[in-house]
Amino acid sequence: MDYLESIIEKYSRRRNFLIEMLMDVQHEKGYIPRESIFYLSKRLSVPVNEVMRIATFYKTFSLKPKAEHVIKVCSGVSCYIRGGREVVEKLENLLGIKVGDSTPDMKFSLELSSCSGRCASGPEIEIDGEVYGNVKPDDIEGILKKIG
Amino acid sequence: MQRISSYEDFLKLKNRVQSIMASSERIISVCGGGGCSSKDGKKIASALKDELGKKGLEEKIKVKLTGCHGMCSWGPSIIIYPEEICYLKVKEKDATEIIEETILRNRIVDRLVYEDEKVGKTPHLKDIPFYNRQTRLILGYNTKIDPQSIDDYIALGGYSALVKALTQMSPTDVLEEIKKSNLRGRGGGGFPAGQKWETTRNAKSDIKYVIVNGHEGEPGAYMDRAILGGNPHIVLEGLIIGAYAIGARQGFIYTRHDAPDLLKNIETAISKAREYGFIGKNILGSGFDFDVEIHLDIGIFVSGESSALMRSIEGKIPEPRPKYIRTSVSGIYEKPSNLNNVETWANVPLIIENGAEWYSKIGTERSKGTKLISLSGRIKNAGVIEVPFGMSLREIVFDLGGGTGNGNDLKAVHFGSAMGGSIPKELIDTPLDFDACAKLGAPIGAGGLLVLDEKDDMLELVSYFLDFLSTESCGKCVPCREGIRQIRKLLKKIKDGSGTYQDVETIREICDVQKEASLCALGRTASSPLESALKYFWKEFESRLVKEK
Ligand SMILES: Cc1cc2nc3c(=O)[nH]c(=O)nc-3n(C[C@H](O)[C@H](O)[C@H](O)COP(=O)(O)O)c2cc1C
Repeated sequence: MDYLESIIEKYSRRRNFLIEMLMDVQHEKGYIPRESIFYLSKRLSVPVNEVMRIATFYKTFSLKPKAEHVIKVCSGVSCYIRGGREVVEKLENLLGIKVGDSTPDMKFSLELSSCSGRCASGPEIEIDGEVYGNVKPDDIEGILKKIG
Repeated sequence: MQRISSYEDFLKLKNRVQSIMASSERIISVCGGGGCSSKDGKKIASALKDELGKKGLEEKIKVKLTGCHGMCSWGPSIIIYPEEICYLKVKEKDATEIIEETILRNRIVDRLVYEDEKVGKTPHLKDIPFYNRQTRLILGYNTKIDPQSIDDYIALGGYSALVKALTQMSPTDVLEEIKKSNLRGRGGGGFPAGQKWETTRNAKSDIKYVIVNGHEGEPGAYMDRAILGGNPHIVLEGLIIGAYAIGARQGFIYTRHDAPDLLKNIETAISKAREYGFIGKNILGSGFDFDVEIHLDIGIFVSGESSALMRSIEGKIPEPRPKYIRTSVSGIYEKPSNLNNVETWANVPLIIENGAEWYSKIGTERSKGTKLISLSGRIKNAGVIEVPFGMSLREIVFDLGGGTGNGNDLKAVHFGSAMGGSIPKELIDTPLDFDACAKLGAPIGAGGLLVLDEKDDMLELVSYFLDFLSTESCGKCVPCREGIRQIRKLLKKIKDGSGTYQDVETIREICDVQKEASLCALGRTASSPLESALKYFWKEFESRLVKEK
C-alpha cells in the first residue's frame, strides 16, 4: 500500500482531492483495485460507498484491469460524421469484442474517448498514447498488426 | 528569482525581458499545439535547433515551441519572425532546407507555402485569408510565445493589466470597467460577466472563490485548450484581476485530465507567477493575497455545468443542483463562487489594459469583442480562429474556412454541439452574435462550429448528440435521464422507416417536458439539436415516416 500512501501524501490528505487520488491510482495500476477503494476510504474518513460512487460515476475510471494495449477511438462529433462510426464497427469486428471490453487473451481493450480536439485529422484512434489520424476502416488491420 | 513588489520593479523586469527578446535576429515559432494530430512539433523544433547549432546560429536565431497556431488541418506549421513567413505541413526532414534556404539565403521554400485558387502561393501570414481576416487579440500571443515562459508573455505586454489594476485601480474601478465593457460569458450562456462578478462581490461572506471553467467537454470544441495550452498566463492574469475585483483570495482552474502537455503548461504558469509574486501574499505590494489550485475533470460532460463543477472541486460526484440560489451566491462549500469560461477570463486583461471604451468598439451592439471558434466537420481549413462578433457565418465558413473542401455543397452549420442547433445554408449570412444565433435556434455555445455538407444526414447527427447526452447526463433527474432515452427510441424507429406522425408528436411533447422540468441546462437543452433539425430539415424526417392511409 506504499503507493497509496504516497498518493495520499501528494495531496496532503485533503479529501477534496479524492478524485485526483483515484486518477493517480488508475494511472499507477491501470485500473482501480478494490483494496484501494477501502484504503482511501479509511485514510480519508470518507464512507466506502462515496469512494465507490466516484469510482463508478466517472467513465474514465475502470474497476477492471485493462489489457496490454488500450485502443481509444475519439468519439467526437466531427470524427463521427467523417467515418468514426465505421472505424469502431471495424475494430469491434476484428477484435470480436464490443466497446468497453477486452479481448479474452487480454491483448486489446477497446474504448471510446471524448473529443480530443484534433478535429482536423479525424477519425482518430489512439493506441498506448500513439495517435493515428485520418483513419479509414481498411487501415485498421495494418495498425493492429504493427502493435502486435 | 526576484519578486516584483512595485510598479517600478515591473517596468524594470519588462524592459529587461523585452531587450532579451529583441536580441534575437529571428524567431522561428513551431506549432506544438494539440490540434495537429501528432507530437511532430517537438521533433521539428529540435531538428531546427540542431541545424542552427551546426551553423553556429543558435544565439542569433531562437526556436520556440509554441501553443496552437490555429491552422490545424495544415499543421504542423512554423512561422518565421520578423518576416512572418508561414510554412505548413512541415516535416522533421524539412529542417535543413528551411535553415539553409530561408534563414541563410532569405529564400522561400516554395513547397511548404500556403496555396489556394484565389490567392495562389502566399508565404506571408498577412496574405493568407485564414489569418488576415481574423482579429487575434487573444490568439495572437500563441504564435509568439513559449507557453512555459512568463518572460515571453511579459515582453509582449502580459501582466501589465494586472499591475495597472493593482497599483492604479480600486476593486470597484475594475468591476465597473468590466461592466462597462459588456463582456459576456464565452462558456455557452453569454451571461454578462460584470453582473455575475458583482453578485459574488456583494454576497455576504468572508470567503469567496473564483474559478476557471476549462472543462471544454463539448465535442468539436477545442478553442479553450488552444488558449490555456498556448498562453496559460493570459487566463491566470484575468483570474487574478477578477479575484481582486470580487474580493476572492482563492481560485481554481478546472481543466482536462487527458491532456498532459496542457496540464504541465498550467502548472508551470502558476509556479512562475508565484515566483514573480503575481500569486501569493501581498501581491505587488497591494495587500491583496491570492492563490490558485488546479482540479481535473475526468471525462463526463455534465461536470462542465457550474454547480456540478463545483461539487467536483469539492471531491464529490458532479451532480448539478437546482439553482434557486445561484452559484455566484452559494457555490463551492456553499461560499459565493464566480465561475467563468477560459476565454471569458482571457478577455479581462485586454479590457483592463485598453479600457472598456476600446473594447466596446469591437463586435456588435450586444456582443462585444472577439470570439474564438473551432471549425470542424466538413471544412477545408479546420482549426481555431478568432474573429470579431458581427462577422457573417458565410465569411467564417467560406473565406476563412475555405468551404467544405470535398467538392460537396454546404448544407448547414451546427453551433453549440449537443446543446445547440443547426443553421441551414440559406441563413448563412447571419452574423456571429449571441442573440442572432440563439434566435435561429443555434446558440453559439462555447464556439464549436461543425460544418455539414449535402451528404450529411440530420437524423444521424441528432441521434449522435442524443446518444452522447444519454451517457453524459448525470442521471439525477427523470426528465433528462428518461426523456433522452425515450426520444432516442422513437428516433431510431423513424430512422428504421417505421415511425409515424404520432411518434413525431410524442417526441415534441417529451422535448417540452424536458425543457420545463430538467434540473440543469443539459436536460433543458438536450432537445435543441433535434428541434432545430425538425424546424429546418423536416423533409428528412417526413420522407421516412409511414405514410398515413
Ligand atoms: C452540461 C453542461 C456542460 C457545460 N460545459 C461547459 C464547459 O465545458 N466549459 C464552460 O466554460 N462552460 C460550460 N458550461 C456552462 C457553465 O455552466 C457556465 O455557464 C459557464 O462556465 C460560465 O462561464 P461564462 O459566464 O464565462 O460563460 C456547461 C453547461 C452545461 C449545462
